[in-house]
Amino acid sequence: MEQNVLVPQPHRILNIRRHTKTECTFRVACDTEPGFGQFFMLSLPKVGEAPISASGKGRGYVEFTIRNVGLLTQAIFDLEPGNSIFLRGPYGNQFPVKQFENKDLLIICGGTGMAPILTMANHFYDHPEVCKSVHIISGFKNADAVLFRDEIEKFQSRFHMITTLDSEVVEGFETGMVTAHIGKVPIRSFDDYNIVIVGPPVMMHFAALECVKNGAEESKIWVSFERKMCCGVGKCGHCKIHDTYVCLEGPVFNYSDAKDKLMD
Amino acid sequence: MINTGKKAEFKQLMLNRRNLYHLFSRLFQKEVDQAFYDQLRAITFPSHREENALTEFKDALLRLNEYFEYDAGESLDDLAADYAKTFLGAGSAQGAAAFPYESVYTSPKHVMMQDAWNQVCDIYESKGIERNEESADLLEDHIAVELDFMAFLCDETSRFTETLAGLEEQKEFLNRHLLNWAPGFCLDIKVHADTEFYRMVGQLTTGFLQLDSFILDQMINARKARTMCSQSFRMSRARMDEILTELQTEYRIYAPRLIEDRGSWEDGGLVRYQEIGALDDIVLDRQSDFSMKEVLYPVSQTIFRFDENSCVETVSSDPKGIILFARPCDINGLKRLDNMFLANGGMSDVYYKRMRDKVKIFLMECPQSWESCFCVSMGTNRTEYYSAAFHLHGEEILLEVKDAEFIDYFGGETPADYAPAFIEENQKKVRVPDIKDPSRLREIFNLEFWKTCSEECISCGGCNTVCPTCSCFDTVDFLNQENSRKGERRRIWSSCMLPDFSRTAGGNIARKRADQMMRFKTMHKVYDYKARFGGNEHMCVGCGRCIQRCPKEISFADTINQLSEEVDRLNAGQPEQE
Repeated sequence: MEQNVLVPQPHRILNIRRHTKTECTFRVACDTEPGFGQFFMLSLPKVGEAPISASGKGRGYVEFTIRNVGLLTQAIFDLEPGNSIFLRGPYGNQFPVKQFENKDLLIICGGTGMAPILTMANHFYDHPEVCKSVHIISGFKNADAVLFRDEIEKFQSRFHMITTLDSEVVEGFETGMVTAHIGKVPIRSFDDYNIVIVGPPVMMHFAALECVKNGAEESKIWVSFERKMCCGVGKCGHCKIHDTYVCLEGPVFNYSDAKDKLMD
Repeated sequence: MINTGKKAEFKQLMLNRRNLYHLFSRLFQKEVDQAFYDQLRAITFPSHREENALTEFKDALLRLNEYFEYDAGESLDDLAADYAKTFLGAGSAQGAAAFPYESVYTSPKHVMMQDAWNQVCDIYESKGIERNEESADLLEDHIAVELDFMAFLCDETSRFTETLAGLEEQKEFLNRHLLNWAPGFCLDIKVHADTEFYRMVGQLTTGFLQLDSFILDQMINARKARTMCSQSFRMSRARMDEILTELQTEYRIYAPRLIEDRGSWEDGGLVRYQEIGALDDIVLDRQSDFSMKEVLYPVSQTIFRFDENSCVETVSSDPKGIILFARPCDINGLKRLDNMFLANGGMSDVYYKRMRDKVKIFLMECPQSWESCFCVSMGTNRTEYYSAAFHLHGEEILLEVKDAEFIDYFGGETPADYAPAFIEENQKKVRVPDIKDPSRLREIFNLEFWKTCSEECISCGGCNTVCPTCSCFDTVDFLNQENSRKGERRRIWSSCMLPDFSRTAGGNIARKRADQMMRFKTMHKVYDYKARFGGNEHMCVGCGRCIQRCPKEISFADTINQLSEEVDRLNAGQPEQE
């Protein structure tokens, strides 16, 4: 019988790590290792299915950082370690990590947009020799919304790390939108570089414009899209933008291709 | 009365061959017992058929008939001992025997479980065959198992509608495997066997396999020859109904049918694709409100059932094929659906493919171009893709048959000179925008025109529903009962004209307003699809159903034409008109 990719398989929840009132990371037993920036279709029978990026991976597990915003995520939040969650995937393309080697790298992320870049950031943390330098600008609404505090602290020791809160003034954090801090990164003095931007569409739009204003070339900027998906394999049609299917050709796009797509 | 035509004859031939293969398989599977001996004796083997002369089968048959006519004095015990000696190397044979395994005859060292064994194992597995208990102690390349597999293939071909593919599969296995070694093995039987019975079995088996190969070739060649050229016929409506009845033993037949108490228009009723029994069920004098896509891709379809611990794919057990009576625009629409479901993402959709593989198209000639049709503009007024084409709207039925499968049903009718006529002009004419360069898309995207063309749109999604090429779906989980642990996930037609279509759980909606959604739909139908899949075809097939369906009377044909004018202006470097 032909393999039916639309049927998900149960995977056990190993542990749950709470970040904020509405955000948790679920570690799930899984032997399939996702690439940097790839996503899985997560589902609970009776409730539904949605695409979720892998925020961590290791031997025998994958992690998903989920914000509780809808019916499915609420149902997932009701689960405990030992319960099953249903998975299929991974799907989509990856951040072109090979291209990032021996160059400077700037990662700009907003809110849960930190999740898709986390496996990549951890990779560079474990292999500090790979990139010339790593800069991260990570923005959150306020101090209560800060995710991945452990990782942020860890990254500070090896990366140029700016963590900023949109409007709140709190010790240990910068204040202002991520765009306000892009000027601090010496993009013009970089020999060769790449910039990764992940967050809400509006944030990606303005962050990219700001990078360009600060001397970045469009073709060196990478973004990751979030779209409603009901299949993940190019059939349901929800993630189509122009002649592109985000689940197939994305979620990672070069900004020079994606800038027109950000408008839709 | 049902006419039992050539199709029934073909089916019977397949079943007869299946029975013969079973019989030969049994001969090698184990010793002959009384019941089987009696069964053999009761069979009258035909020795008079002309083609028998071509093989040593005829000689073997004569010997067989004589064997049972004049008792050769061989007891069942004699036969059992000879079976053990000949095939197992027991007793006086001292290990020498005709070992009934393909790999013994085809491997360089003449040992068991070599390449040939691997190959047949793979073939059985690809067919999803589970070995039954009786033969489970025999290796897969044992002659009894291979003969049994031929019986399986004969049975399959008798049930399935793709007979040519089935016959070719049989021929492939027969030539590659059985005939590649069984003749040598049968010669060895003559050497090792002491009884007349088993010496005869050897000769008979070779003769049978050679004859069957010859018969298969004849059938395959005849079918191929028929596929090369089409044939046309005429018949009465009554005769057509008889053939439809006969077709229904093998196929479900779908055509536009009137559902009287549905639909919102004053002309009454809704015309949708449903199963039909007779010609009079088919609505011929108006366009169907829905396209035929719902037959292959239902409005709501269960994709798997679940309980809390597992998800199990739904499988289809309906062995019948599907015949679709369809208009050229919808047949062209099928190609668009194929691209999405079978090609996009380099993977085919299991649920769609399952239905699609069964579909045979019966083209219905259009009696007229209806009010909203613009197929000629879209190049979808013609098609070559059909098994048979029909002129149905007259006293006499005319048809052209291209697919050999259906010659079996229609081949006996009065020959005629007929080829389907296609609509060559519509009232509505549409010009697709001339977008020369993707760099133009941003300007097109920002046109004020999108707001004006969608002013009336209420985002109901009716246009997507009736469209033969819209294929988007949502998935929704249903419970069998409230509070039940068991349920199913279904996929349900979705619509890009609904704001929820692009809503993510976080509340972000990529396209909120009617103008954004109208732009998305329009560009997909007349630009994006072709940009993605190449070729000369746009997604829209110009059936005009969306125009008929729109409660606000928005004409998609006008939208495309107006967009073309806007694009012309952009191409000429002129500003957009207010």
